[in-house]
Amino acid sequence: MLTSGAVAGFGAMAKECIEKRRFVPVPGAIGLYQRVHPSGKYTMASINGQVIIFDLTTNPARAIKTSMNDETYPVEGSWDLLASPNHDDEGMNYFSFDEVLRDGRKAQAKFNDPEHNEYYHSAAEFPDSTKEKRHFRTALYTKLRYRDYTMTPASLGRPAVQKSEIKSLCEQIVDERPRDPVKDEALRSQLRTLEKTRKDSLKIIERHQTMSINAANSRRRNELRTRLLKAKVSFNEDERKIIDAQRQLGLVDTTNEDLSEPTLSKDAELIGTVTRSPGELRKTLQILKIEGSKCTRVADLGYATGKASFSYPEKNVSLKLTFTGERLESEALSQTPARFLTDEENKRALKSDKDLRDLIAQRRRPGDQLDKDLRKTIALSMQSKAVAHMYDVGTKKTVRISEIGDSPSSPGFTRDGRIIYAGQSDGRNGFFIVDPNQADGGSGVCITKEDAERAGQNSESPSTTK
Amino acid sequence: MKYNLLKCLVCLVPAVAFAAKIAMPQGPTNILCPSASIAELETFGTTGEWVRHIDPEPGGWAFRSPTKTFGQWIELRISPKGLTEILVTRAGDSKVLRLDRSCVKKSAAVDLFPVRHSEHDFTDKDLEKLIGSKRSGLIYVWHPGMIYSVKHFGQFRDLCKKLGLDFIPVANFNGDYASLEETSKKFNLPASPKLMASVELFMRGIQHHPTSYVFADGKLSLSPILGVKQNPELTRVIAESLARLSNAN
Repeated sequence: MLTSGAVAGFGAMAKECIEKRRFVPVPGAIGLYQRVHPSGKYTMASINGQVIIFDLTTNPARAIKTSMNDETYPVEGSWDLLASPNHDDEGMNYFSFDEVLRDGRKAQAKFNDPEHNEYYHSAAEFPDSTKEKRHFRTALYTKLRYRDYTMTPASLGRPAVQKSEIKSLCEQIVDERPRDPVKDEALRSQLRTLEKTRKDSLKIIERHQTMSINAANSRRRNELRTRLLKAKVSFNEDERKIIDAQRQLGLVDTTNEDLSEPTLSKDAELIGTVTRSPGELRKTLQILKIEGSKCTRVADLGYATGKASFSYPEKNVSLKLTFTGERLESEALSQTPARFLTDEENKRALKSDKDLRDLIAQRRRPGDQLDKDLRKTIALSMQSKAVAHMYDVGTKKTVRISEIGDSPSSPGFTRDGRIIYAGQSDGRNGFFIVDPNQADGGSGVCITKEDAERAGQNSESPSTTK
Repeated sequence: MKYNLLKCLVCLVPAVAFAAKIAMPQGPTNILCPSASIAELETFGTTGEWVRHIDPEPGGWAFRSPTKTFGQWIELRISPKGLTEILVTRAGDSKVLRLDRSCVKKSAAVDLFPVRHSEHDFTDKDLEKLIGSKRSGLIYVWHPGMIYSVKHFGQFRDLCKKLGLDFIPVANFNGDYASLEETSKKFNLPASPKLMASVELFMRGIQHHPTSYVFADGKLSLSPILGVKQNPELTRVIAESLARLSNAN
């Protein structure tokens, strides 16, 4: 494996690896909903109601304030556009990233969509999207809808925008398996009946749950509770039969009723979401391919995670996901030491919590440096258990990206495959920029400085000054 | 009489001899010490209700299961080479057991779930008391930095009230308590918020905020309600969880 500073090849041009891991501090808060620019030079986050763009090329990172609304997210791909939700009657406003960088709070939206708007959304460009004609999709989370756009910039005035009809997202989810149409139809018919009676039972449960609370007298309350219990029994029987049918007979459709945390891939064609497979009650992180209002299940990681972010599609390179997930950690299981509190956190903790002071008094050993020991003791009982990971869809292997004490959140890929996540180092907030290929279990083929530089050039619009 | 005695002798054979053993989770096919693993798992009262968790390493597996002891969970890890590691998770008193290639066990105390000793903690003791009350409700796990969990706090609370369910908010937060109180005040959330300090909740998986768990009939659901939803869908999933709890053992 090439390590930082190592050189490849015999007589070939030297290709220096990037650092395995680098931390860029940020003065102040960083927020928790980061999105990573394809070049790796910027991130964007919502912090206390404000949308901030961080310039990671300076140390510490420079914060650029904007006038966009909370939970603004980029249209992934080139980041030419940023989707800012909930602008009163205007709905979703789409800003130019370059203009926001240049003009800050004075930047004006390029166009808006009052019909297709929500503050929990995901947007990405299609492979045929170009600077001359931006073609992209915006998906809305709780509404489970999506809309496609084609935007042609104008030299003067607002761009021309075509909007598709708004479609339902993954109304039906099917698996990619060979199907027997006759058998499938018989199964669908059976399941339709079972699902209808299950739905009817559920309506009774929903209604009676409230009615029994407001019942006029105890006789009525008991009546309702009896009906409620019957409905619950019927619901469970139907659910068991549905699950059995799905498992034994191989019918594989589910619906978008159970979709959580959907995120579009960088080419707008796939969606990463935590949802349930047929025959299962538990939810796992899955990749679905969007085909109209239908989705096809293409991968299932087998476990649940936090929101996932896709790598940039690349020919002959398997797709990857990055996400955080809670894990059991301790210093005994890892060699990385706990993080230390900042001075301010330390003072507040001691001032406000008598129990904590007692705990520290118990744990101190004679001769310890008071300050360091206090901080470490507090830190040990306060660590975040979140860990950042990368999953390779081709090899189905999960690689750990962050280390103990990082408190990672919102990891995202750059175009060249680096992963950037928000976190903490020695009590400071900031961003980690890591090469997942150099992590334990990674591919071992490092990302080079040349790769990173190329990603920076390809992702920039000509108007960005750097 | 002889026949009755024989019947009686059979009756006297301890039921445990015929008790079904728990099974290893489906998935890993190269477990080196399956019998020894099961024996260890059973000493901790593992129920075998396995839920797969994030792989601990490339090619490795992780599964979690509750045990018969409230506040104690197991995480079972299988390495790519088939070695077993059992993490017995309890507040302040966890241990890890490792079986080597000869199936010999080595164990060590580890601090997997440190006890914070804060007056604001919502512990397994609190949770057990809540569930034992036989009331129905929803535990809402939120985080001050996860804005959806803050903005939709009121929605979940109001819907629970409408459905006659107790609403129990718990902040999954390990930072500065004063800043948590500030956020609560800013968004009109309850003062002195409770802090997540429960192994039962943690081990069920909190990968997103908010994550909600329904409780009823003396039981707590194993499957979470993930994220925010519009009221009709939220009502539906709560009703589903309540229905399944009435069917659970």
